[in-house]
Amino acid sequence: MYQTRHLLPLAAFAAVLSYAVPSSAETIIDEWPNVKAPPPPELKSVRLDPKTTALILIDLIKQTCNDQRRPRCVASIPKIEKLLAAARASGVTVIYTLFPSPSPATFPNPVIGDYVPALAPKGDEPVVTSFVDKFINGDKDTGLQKLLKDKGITTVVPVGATSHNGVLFTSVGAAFRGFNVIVPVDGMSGNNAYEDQAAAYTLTSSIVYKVTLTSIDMIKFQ
Amino acid sequence: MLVGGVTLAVGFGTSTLRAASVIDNWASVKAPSAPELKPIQIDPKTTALLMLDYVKQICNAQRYPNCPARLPTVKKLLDQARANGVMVVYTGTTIPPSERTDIDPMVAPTGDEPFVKTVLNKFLNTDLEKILKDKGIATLIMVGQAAQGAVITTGSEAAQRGFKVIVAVDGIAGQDDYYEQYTVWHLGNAPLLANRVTLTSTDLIKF
Repeated sequence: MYQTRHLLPLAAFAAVLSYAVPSSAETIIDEWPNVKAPPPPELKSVRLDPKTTALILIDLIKQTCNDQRRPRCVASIPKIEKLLAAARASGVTVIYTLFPSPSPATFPNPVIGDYVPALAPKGDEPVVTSFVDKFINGDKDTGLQKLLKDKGITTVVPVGATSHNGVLFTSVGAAFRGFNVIVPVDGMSGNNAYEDQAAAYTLTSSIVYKVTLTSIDMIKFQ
Repeated sequence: MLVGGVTLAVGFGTSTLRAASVIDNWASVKAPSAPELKPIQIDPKTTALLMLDYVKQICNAQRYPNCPARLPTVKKLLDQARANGVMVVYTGTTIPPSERTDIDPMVAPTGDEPFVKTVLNKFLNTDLEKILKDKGIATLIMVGQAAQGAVITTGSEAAQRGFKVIVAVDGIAGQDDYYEQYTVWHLGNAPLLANRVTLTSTDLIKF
């Protein structure tokens, strides 16, 4: 009992110490070099109904999808081209997105004619414009949700650049709006592998929304 | 699709094919260098402290262990903010459901400090932007969790809506260290955000 009485204050003091470690020693910046990536997510094969599926091409324009600015994007073009051809051949709805220039004086607002030629739109394939989440632009609705609903779309397949912005946030936005979201990991690109990895992990590890990660050759329209 | 919703209307099979993608190079991917934290002087009249989801349903040792551990640091920032007349705004989430009264007592709201509730992006389906703009707020100091949820989505949205965003990295908590690291890197480097977001720590913020 004597020992217990004297140990209790020590235990309390130790508890205070453990809770009062200076914040500078606890931030992620201090742990930065030691952070390990989680295991890679599993890719899953999918069969999609062409009538209720939309392929969304995100911001694949020549100003940013080029060898100097974003070589990973250039590398993804042939794969996306293959997916686009398969989608069109199956009658899948195809939708394009652009982003408004954050500084029009030095970077003119992109137009649909800026799309990389291999992925250029055909006919009246629609275009929506927004920064990151293509469903909203600031406090304004881009009309993407209505566009999809009016066509009876229940599943979306976002591809494009960048993985950690347009693809990630549009995918999350779609999931929250009730769409099934299928993301081919080889159809999205960031500036580096870290951004692609983080986007893939984020898309597949949420506890509040569900996104299916796949690859382009694992998507079948039928 | 939200977890718990209807069953996916697509067919799934087990992964058997290999694609040349980041999945193949997963183990060799390296994080960029850690960003520099910057000291910052804020104007109390035009700044709000945004306290993201300090509700007991998620700020606990089981869900986000870093959250309770960081409460004393956040409490210190909160006290300084209030002492300097900085507006304080609280948020809760709908997944899982939470209310104003669920906020941890150590950092609980006082008086009529506003509270908005939604999942992830706190600007969506709330009056948050109006609440801030009605008070002339141009700068947001963000702390809370989850890093990979409310912090990254609300921070990104705030920047897109024209707010200057200050993220105190010792005041955010994520599902794991990877998420915390990525959130910090993203907010400091992503297109559009890099010029509108300042990464700092609570002891580098001066009112």
